[in-house]
Amino acid sequence: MSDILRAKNLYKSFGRKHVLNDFSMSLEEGKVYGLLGKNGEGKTTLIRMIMGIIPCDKGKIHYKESEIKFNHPLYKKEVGYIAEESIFFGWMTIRDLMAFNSSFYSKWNENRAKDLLDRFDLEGRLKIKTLSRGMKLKLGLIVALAAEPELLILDDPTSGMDVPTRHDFLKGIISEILEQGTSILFSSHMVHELEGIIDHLGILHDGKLILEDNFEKVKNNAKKVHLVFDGSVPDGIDIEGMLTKQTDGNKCDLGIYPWSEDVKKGLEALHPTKMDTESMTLEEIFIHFVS
Amino acid sequence: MFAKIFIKEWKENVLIFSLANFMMAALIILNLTGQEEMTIYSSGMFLLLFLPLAALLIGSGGFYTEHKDNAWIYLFSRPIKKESLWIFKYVSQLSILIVIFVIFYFVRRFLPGLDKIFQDLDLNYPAAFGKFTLSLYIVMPLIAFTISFSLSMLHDKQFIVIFVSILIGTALIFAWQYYVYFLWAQGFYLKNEGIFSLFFTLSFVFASILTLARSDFSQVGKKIFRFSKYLLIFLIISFFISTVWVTRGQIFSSNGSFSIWYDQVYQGSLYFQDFRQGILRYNPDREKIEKLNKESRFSFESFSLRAGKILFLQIKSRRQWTHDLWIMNTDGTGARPLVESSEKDSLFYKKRTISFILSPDANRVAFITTHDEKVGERSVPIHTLWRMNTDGTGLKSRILDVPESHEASLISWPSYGDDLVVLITTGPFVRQKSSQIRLVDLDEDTSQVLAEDVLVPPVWRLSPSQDYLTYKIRNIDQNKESLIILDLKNLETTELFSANFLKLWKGKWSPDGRKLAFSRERELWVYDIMEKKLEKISIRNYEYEIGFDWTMDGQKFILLAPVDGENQLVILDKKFQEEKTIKIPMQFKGAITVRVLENGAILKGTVKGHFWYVDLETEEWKKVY
Repeated sequence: MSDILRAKNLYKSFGRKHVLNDFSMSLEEGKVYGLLGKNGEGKTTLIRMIMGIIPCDKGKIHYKESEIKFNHPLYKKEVGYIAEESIFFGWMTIRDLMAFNSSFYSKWNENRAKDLLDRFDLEGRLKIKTLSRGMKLKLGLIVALAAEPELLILDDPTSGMDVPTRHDFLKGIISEILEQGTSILFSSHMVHELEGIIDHLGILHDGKLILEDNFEKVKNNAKKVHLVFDGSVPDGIDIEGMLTKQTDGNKCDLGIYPWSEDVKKGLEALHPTKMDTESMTLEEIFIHFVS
Repeated sequence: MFAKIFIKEWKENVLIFSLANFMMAALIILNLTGQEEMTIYSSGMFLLLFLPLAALLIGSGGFYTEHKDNAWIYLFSRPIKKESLWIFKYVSQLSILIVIFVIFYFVRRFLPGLDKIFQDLDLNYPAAFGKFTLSLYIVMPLIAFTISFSLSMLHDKQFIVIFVSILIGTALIFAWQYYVYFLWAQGFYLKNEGIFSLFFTLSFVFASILTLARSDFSQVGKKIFRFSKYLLIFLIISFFISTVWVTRGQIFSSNGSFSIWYDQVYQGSLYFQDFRQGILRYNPDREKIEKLNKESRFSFESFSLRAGKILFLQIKSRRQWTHDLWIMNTDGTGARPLVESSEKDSLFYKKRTISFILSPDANRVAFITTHDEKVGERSVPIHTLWRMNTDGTGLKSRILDVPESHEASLISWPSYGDDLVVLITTGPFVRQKSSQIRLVDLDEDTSQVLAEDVLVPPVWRLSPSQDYLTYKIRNIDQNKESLIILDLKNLETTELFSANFLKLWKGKWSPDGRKLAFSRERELWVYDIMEKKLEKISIRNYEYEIGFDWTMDGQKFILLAPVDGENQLVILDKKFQEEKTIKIPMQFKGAITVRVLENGAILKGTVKGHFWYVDLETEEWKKVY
């Protein structure tokens, strides 16, 4: 399957701070890409660069086969974007916004917009400035989805949502979107939410992707290992792929990626009295990689 | 998409638009209810205060909601080019201003009372495109709107945008004015100086669009830096293009355009002043125009011609900006300097001659010089009035009491004696100059104020003998203006007209100095000095008149006016009855004036090559200059 979005060797600095430093990624058509990173690592910057809101200092971004140049907006007709904050004109009513926004998109689906408004209990007459943060995010979602995008870019969309809405969004809406074949770039700091949704995982740290792979593969290759020794934990445990190490008396917990038979043999060579391995959750994978 | 942006921008500015309409409705009501004073006051407020302020407010709020609601991100992530976004927003907001102008136009048009008030208040913008002129009250708000709109994307605080817009706009206009003066001082004849305001406004537009399209809006410092960089580049380009535009190739070529500044008919010839050529003479009996002052290429804008002599100023050179006062015979012979301000051993060294006049017999001259003198820490301009014989003897002088920032000029040396009439007027940057006329006697060393609150008199102020002076005065207490004729012999004044706003156009004394013809709005009037009789001339109802003159014998009157949609020369007999009309076969550019010689008339435009002579009998036309 071909890539719908590709970023190659991106650089972006704000003053002396290098936010993205030789960053590259790719998203396959019809897949969900989960982009994880701590606050301030540059997720929003990357998304804004993809959306042509800010220019990159260096590097290239491709949407489908075409290179995206700053201020070449045509590809945005096919891209839905939900920002992490409210970005709408406060004085407009929801109805105004829908009408205004519809003029930008040839594929604007009025019925879908109405359905989603009903589903999220949003009335057209309400002024945007009177809406809560959660309601504004729902509105952002409606605006993005009614344009029937081929690529949906979500910048931490669930942070202000109440629990039922978030649940509906993650379990219901995302599934519906995926059924339509829409590709998604999903950035979130609520790491656990992405579990079960994403196909591909990227972890952004210090301006670079320190992990980018198929999520299933990552899950299979990321292991927590609990070792128990007779005496004290041997000094200088140096296993290939060791991400973290925590010792407590004669116990030692390791985070390993990628897991392999050679790694297993290497651990067994340390002669632990007990060795348990278990798969990591996405949250644990993330913590192990960035800590 | 544009329609939606259009609606959005209108909704955001509905308050200012409503306020403008409310103000115009108030003006209509005031006008209809006959409250003239209040209407004048409110109209002034509307033109001078509200329109520019509304333009600044709409412009400075151009991107206000984008700043306030962080809606940049929303707009930038839509499939629309940023340049298009800028242009759509600009056009939408400009349309609000345009609609206000259009409503204002119709309000004026349908209420004649109001139209008259606005006409009196109105000022024409310095013509940037030749014939095409715009009201200053339209041009200035448009410039203010465009600058503040261009700057509005840099800052969210509207008052800061307004302040910076006014500051930069004013600084640029002043800088350009000084630069234009510098060019003029270098000897360039300048045309359409107003063009720079168009170019510098466009500089803001381009800088703003490029900044929006190319810069990172998440970094305010970078955004402002980039805007400043673009603006500087475009301003430099604007300066360059404007310089070329106003000088029209004179920088690259020594043969620029010609400009006729001043003319006078004397003994059947027309004497006129061309900025580059000097003083020239045209006599219909001779084929060629004669160049009279052969010594210098650069001359002052006027000369004094009396009793067979011409007194004139010559500029030494482009680099040495000093004026020397010269005298010569009317045939160009006997030219010699009288006052040399560039000679170190001269009494007049570093004294700049600013005004001069010949005595009735042309044996003496009077002139005013200025120079700076240190008074404490400050440098104060000193105005001195001088009089001397043309052989350099009999020099007398008196320092004139001229308030700071005022100017002094000699306007008359009457035929009966040695009194000199001096006009003291406010500086060059005051539109409605309020001046004082004084009578100075250098022998007795006295000075007498003849008139106060004089609105700078038009060029037809003096009778041929210089014994009668015409001027307009304003009585602020009574809120009225009057047209006065002063007999300098006995200092008697006669009030010809009086009104709130006296709109006088052209005027012309008959060659014998007995009658003064002048136009007041669309009416032609003649005043007989001897009979003290003012008469309105009943001629066909022209929409407006362009120029008129008496024949040399004073028996006929020539009027240049539109007849059946085209300009024609209309010849009236001494009773002002239409005798005949002569069609004008060529198109003139700029203002046209009429000068009557012995048997013909000269039609003079302001552009090179538009100087034609017509024989009034044969109706033959001849291109003169």
